[in-house]
Amino acid sequence: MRGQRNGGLRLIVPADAAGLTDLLRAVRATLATWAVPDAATHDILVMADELATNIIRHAWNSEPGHRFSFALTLEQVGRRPQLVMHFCDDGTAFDPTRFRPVGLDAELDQRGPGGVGLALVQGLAQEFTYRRKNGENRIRVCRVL
Amino acid sequence: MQITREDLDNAIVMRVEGWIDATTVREFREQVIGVIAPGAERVVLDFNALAYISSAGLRSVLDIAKEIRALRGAFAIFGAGPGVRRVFEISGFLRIIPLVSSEAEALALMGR
Repeated sequence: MRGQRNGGLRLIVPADAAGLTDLLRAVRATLATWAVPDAATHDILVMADELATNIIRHAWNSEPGHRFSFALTLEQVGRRPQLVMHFCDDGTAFDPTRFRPVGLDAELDQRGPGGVGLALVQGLAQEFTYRRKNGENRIRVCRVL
Repeated sequence: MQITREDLDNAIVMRVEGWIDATTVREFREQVIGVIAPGAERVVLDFNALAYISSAGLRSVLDIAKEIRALRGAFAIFGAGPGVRRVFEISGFLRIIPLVSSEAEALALMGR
């Protein structure tokens, strides 16, 4: 990976398990330098983890050798700072903001394993937007501090 | 991630330290499910030192809960920080898995 700079984190991430691990490590380190509180750190890491995992698994149908771009910035919007993440990949078109989880209120015996990842992003983000442009999926996620 | 086991009179307490994510979830699942058996079906997870859990970790917690349910045992988690608790809340897991504040509360749910 390459690309950390002052004022934010910008990475080109290999779409594999090692890339995911390195991404989360870099995000965690960046949040620590910004002294982000633990609860917000956990939220950002979960969202980064789930969205990156979704890209790695589905954008190219598990075909190896692909990469996606990631950016994390700390921005002041009005009176409140917010953490903003951007993901960009050239894989199959997919809008994660339209995903509708099912079964989250099921009882234990009926509860299935899937559908939680994107539900977590939708629940943790104050803003979660998607657009398809120039053959790329572009995701923006905001978490107000 | 590290897990230490403590056998108490009415439950096995598994103390989890670190991260439960895609790289550690298999070890987490194997270690916890590995202690569950007839006669050892009351399990408490100590999440005081758990720094992070992803959806992969939640799926393993679900597997553990179902395994214990199949043996008509008891299961509870205590000590989760705000971030971990929030993940349980959003995913609907608070409805199906007891998440309490203290070890005493968790052990009280184990019965006997």
